[in-house]
Amino acid sequence: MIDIVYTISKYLIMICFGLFVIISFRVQRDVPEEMKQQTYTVQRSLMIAIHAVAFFVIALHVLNGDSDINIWYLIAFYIAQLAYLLVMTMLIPRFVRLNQGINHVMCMFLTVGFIIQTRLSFENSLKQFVIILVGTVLFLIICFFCKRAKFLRSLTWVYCIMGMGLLMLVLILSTVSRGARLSLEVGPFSFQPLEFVKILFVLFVAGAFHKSTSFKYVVITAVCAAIHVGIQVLCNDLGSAFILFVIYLMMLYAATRRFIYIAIGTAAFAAAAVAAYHLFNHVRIRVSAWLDPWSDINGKGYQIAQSLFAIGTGGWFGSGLFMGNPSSIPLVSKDMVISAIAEELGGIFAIFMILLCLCFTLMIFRVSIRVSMTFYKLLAFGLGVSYAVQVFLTIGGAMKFIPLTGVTLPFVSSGGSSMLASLITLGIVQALYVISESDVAQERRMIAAGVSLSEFDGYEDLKEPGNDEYDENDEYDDEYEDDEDFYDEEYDDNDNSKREPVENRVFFYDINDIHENNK
Amino acid sequence: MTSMKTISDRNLKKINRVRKKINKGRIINKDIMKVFAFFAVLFSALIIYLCYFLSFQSGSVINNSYNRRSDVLKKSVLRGSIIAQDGSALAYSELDQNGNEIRVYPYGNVFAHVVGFDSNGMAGLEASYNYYLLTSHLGLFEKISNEFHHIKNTGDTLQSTLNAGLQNYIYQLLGNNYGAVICMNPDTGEIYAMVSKPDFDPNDISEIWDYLVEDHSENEYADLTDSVLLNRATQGLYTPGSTFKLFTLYDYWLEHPDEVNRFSFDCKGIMAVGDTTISCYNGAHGHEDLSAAFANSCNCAFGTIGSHLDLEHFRSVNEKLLFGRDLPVDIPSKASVFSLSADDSEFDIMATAIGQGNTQMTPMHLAMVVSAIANDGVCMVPHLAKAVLNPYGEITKQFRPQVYTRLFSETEAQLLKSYLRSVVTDGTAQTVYPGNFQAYGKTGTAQKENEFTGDYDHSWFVGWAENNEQKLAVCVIVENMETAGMTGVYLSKQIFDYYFGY
Repeated sequence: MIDIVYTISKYLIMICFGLFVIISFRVQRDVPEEMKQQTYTVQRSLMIAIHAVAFFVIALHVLNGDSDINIWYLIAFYIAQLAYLLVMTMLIPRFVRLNQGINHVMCMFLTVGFIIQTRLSFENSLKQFVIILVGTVLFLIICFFCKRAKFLRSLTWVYCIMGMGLLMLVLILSTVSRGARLSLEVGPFSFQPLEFVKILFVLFVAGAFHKSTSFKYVVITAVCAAIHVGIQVLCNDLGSAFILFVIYLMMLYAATRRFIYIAIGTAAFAAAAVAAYHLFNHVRIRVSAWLDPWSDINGKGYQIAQSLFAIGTGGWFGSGLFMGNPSSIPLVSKDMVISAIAEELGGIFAIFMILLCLCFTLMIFRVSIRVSMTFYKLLAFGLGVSYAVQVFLTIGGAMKFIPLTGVTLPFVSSGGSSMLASLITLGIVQALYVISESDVAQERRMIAAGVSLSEFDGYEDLKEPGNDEYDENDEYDDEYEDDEDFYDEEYDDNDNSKREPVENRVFFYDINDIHENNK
Repeated sequence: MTSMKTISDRNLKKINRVRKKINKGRIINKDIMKVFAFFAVLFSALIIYLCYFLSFQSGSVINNSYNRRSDVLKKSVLRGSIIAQDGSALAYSELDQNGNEIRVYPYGNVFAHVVGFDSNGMAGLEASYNYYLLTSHLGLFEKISNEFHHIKNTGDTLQSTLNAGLQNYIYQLLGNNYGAVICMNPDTGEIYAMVSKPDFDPNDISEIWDYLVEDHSENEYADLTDSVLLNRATQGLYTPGSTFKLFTLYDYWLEHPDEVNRFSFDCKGIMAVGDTTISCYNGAHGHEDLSAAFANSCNCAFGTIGSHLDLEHFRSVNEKLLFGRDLPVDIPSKASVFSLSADDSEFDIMATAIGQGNTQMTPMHLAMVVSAIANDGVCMVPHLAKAVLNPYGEITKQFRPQVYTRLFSETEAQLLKSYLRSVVTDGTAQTVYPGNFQAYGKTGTAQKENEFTGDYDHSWFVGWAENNEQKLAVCVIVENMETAGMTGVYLSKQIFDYYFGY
């Protein structure tokens, strides 16, 4: 009987999660926020359902006597987590106009983290929850105050120096664990500054390119970036070094729109990779463990082999919670959490997980698209790239798609610094969304107030002779165009006759905004 | 109700211009979407790779002794069957009246070592292909339906290369003698039979386990005198005796190719080496050339040859011929040992050259080397698994013949063939000469004085027989020849007759 409950719960979790992911993608359509509220309610229900079902299974497992967790602690912990999720998705948005889509996906990741971490180790999950609470406070502070702290934009070099300083500290003071210098011991806490350096680095590059993208500036920032990356290589943290490198390259491309930089960067990377392979023994070990983990299965290939056993044995549908053996994978709660997820919740669940990460990246990029100012745009963009690369490295590494680099899966993996940094990152993204909202509102207010466009300062500059007609190739017009593209993709299969004229739809929420703002 | 108002196309353009005025930045949203597209491609690649892994790779990946998840799979899968090449069941699982899974081995002792057993640490094919047997390729909906009905999915079936008739015949033939027999196809590496005695009944393994693993031995040779669980065919290390002259001959030919034809030896039946003597088995062979010396298995001649060999060269040739190497066979095996160094006395060197030194070989190794000669020098990977079948009987994975390595050039193989043929036509293995097949081979008798178990006399035969259609390589070792006339040659003759028909 109990086995049937386990089985049903497994498929239930998978179906709910799949629906959640599909809805998350659909929510990306450009319809007014008000119309999305219903969707968010569905998302929230699915999330709560997954959480409840999973904890029901954990509780059954505890009641069966297969675990030494106290059932009352477990119930209390469940209620605390549930309360957290409800506060985050229902209460907080009443005070801050967060992007609800991003917020829900973030909470979904946290939920998956709650489930898998509690399954792996109750105590560890409890600690993790405390860190999430602390991180959430930071998250909210950033959301509330970022808009007012305009001076933060001009601290470009402070970020750079802070970042490098932290890295130097790590290089000098850190303890070596798993062949890499990662953590600083501060009292009873172990702290991994590299997670925060990523954010500082994005702030620095965004600030620098906001000022100028002249060749001189590109060179200066490239040197600073190279120092960052270089110190990380010395720390043996190649995963983080690679993340910083990609962030810099992508931001450089976005700021200058020159493809040549990417080409140069890729060539430099290839050269550096070859050099690193010949210079550093641990790089060779990683690569050989990636190419053939089976020949030294008890040594360097152990972790990746165990990860593949987990994913392969779990198969498409997974073994079900507590039915697998994920604890045989070293570092399963951190770098290898996706293997545990694939083993127990199923390969299909893991695929949905990858899709949800992709959706999350898209959501962050869309904040970057919405916000006006270059600094903010680059900031959101850089954070999005940082997220996406990290996800790719950790999931790809666990599946033997690329060599293992030892980075965590944001919001899901356990680890204090990683979780705090992820929540801070999302705090910044949400703050940028709030700023973008006011940008859009200001623009609409202006139009609605009937400001004559010709009176608008600078309008004449834009009005070039012969440019009266709408020029499709005009690069500067494409923000609007992009939005339209989204419409078209989403509505293409619908009956065209039912479509509202574009103008009406645009105006529809313009008017709403005006009403709100005139109140 | 919100009032509706249309903005003309013209106004829309103007709004766009205002937007671009506000958005004076240099970041272009199209580029952001391009970067997103890049990540979308990367993530899709991840998903495709994961699907590929789960569909095609995971089956062979998880079948690894380091994977400790078989208990996980056992919960949902009824262990699959192992069948012989012709489909007769060698092992299958069924449920008793209490719903417990029991493993049945219909042939009892006959396949004990090669098929192995599933409990008590597992052995044989049961161990090597554990995860294939615990993987079910039932249809998706059937699986889900089974899961809800709480029925175990039927695991996949392993079709082995074993020939049940041949195995049974050899098993009966060997009777109470200790020893091992391997029959394989030299061209494909498929193992048709693998018998090891003494044996046990895998159906009772749990009951007899404690007795079997008890330490019955007081001496270092217990390894080969009793241990019932040992698969002597792949793990038994035996003194090769005269069969090793094949290696000596090969090295001699490589080192002194011009002397081979001029070789001539006058065998007096006994030869003094320092304080000791080397003697031939059946008296003086008189004047003989190399071919005759090989056919007669002349110890004096080969001892003399041994003393003319460059030891380093001899060692490297033997290493090339798989001494000291783990064999690629798909059940556990031991590596053969060749030990000879420059410090050894002349007698040791000569004794090694005639296979009586400290050299030790597994029957599997010898079978592989001779099969390579039969296959024009190419050594195939010896294997016991033919295919994995899903519960509907369709093949989900096929284990195709694989080339392991080339041991001899074609000329070398031809040359060695002619020597092995002369053993059958004119030499010690004339017993296997008659029959509707053409046989090649080398006999051997491993003599060893042993203060604990007394002297022993193991009888070897290794070789192959072929007719127009088929080839069968055989390696036989009979320990101590307890039954009179139960020699390697005799057994091989019986096996060839059975296989090729009288």
